[in-house]
Amino acid sequence: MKKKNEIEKLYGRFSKEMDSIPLPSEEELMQLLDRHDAQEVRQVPFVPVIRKRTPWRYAVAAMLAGALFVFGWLLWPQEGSPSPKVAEQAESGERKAESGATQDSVIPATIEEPEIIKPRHLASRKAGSEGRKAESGKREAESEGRTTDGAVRQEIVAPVALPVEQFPALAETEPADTTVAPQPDAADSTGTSPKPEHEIDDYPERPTIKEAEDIIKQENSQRALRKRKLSGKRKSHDKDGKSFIDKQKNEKDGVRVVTPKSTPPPSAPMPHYIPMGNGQSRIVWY
Amino acid sequence: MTHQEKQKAFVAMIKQHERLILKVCALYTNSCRSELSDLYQDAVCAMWESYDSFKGQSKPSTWIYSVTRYTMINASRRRRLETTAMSNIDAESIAAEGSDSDVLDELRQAVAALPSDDRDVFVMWMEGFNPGEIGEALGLSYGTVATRITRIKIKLRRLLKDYKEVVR
Repeated sequence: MKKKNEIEKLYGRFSKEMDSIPLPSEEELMQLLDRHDAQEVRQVPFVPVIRKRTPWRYAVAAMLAGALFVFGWLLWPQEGSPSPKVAEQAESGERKAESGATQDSVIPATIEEPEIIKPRHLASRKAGSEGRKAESGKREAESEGRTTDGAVRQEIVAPVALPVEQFPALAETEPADTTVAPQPDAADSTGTSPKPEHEIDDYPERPTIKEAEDIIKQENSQRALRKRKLSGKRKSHDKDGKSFIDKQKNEKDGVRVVTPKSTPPPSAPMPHYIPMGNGQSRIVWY
Repeated sequence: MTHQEKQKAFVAMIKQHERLILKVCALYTNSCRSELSDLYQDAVCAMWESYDSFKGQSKPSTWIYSVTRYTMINASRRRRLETTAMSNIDAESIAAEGSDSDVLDELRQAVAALPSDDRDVFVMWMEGFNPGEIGEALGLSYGTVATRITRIKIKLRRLLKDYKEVVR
């Protein structure tokens, strides 16, 4: 027989302990369930009731609708005041009547308001477009030499010379010198008219093409020099103007290009430290 | 099936597994003997509420164990929210009754120290469920349940040893 371990023993004791606890009988359990069902039924009455619409709700809705209507009425253009378009048309009619260019055609000073009344925002947009059209028409008319109201602009004409015979007093007097007196500084011995101020050239004479090329070349070389100095690169050409790259290439190919050595530094005596052997040194200048 | 017949069938099923319900109530809640009968009634009511959902696809004992377990977890959670004054009254009443046996305390201490999953496995295993049934109730495979049982045994042995040392 398998020996029971400690846990099983403990659980067995625990089971015995549980068995000793009295539990309700079947009858009691049935009563318990009945009570539970009854309690559930008591708890059930929570049923959401859909409320009917009461008259005061209709009243509130009607008030809101009325308020909206009044608000809309205020926003809508009033019948008494003409819309901007109508006012503009009336004004242009008045102008035409005043100018007389269209006197034959009878244009009423006021135009009857159209039946369709548009909201203000639409009217203002329309008025804006009308204004733009009027402005462009005005510009065109000015360019063609007409006034905005259609009349041809009158040119200013010089006064007509009166016959001298009719005015003897005027004939006795010397005729006025109408020629323009030349400016003293503008007088030129050659007779050429002086240049106007805006044509006076303050710059020196223009260089020739060759000079310009030289200047550009010089500037390029200076720029290259500056660049080389800044970048710290070696020169690509030696003093004689020979390319270092060509020299290296020649050396690689076996052609030895002997370049003259730079002049040796001046032979100034330099200090030389010669060790004496005992930890000291002797300075010798040569 | 009429209401009366349904009630009778349910009560018969409960009476068959009443000790299992009581043990689960005792192990999942830190309550004394006098409170166990109340917890038992709560569990029976909960089972009666969900009796319509029991289709007989699993063993009645498995279903009873699952419903009782969840009811007790909720009850212990509810108890935790109660005031400490009530716990003092309980202590006094326990002292007047002569307290629970040492066996219940000992086993409760040991089982409370286990993780909740291991606790389920242990109680069901001790109630005679086979690993297949335990796995079905807890959503675990047969192998997992068998492995857990072995580990729980080792763990409980150590816990009980420590508990005894502390009591001495």
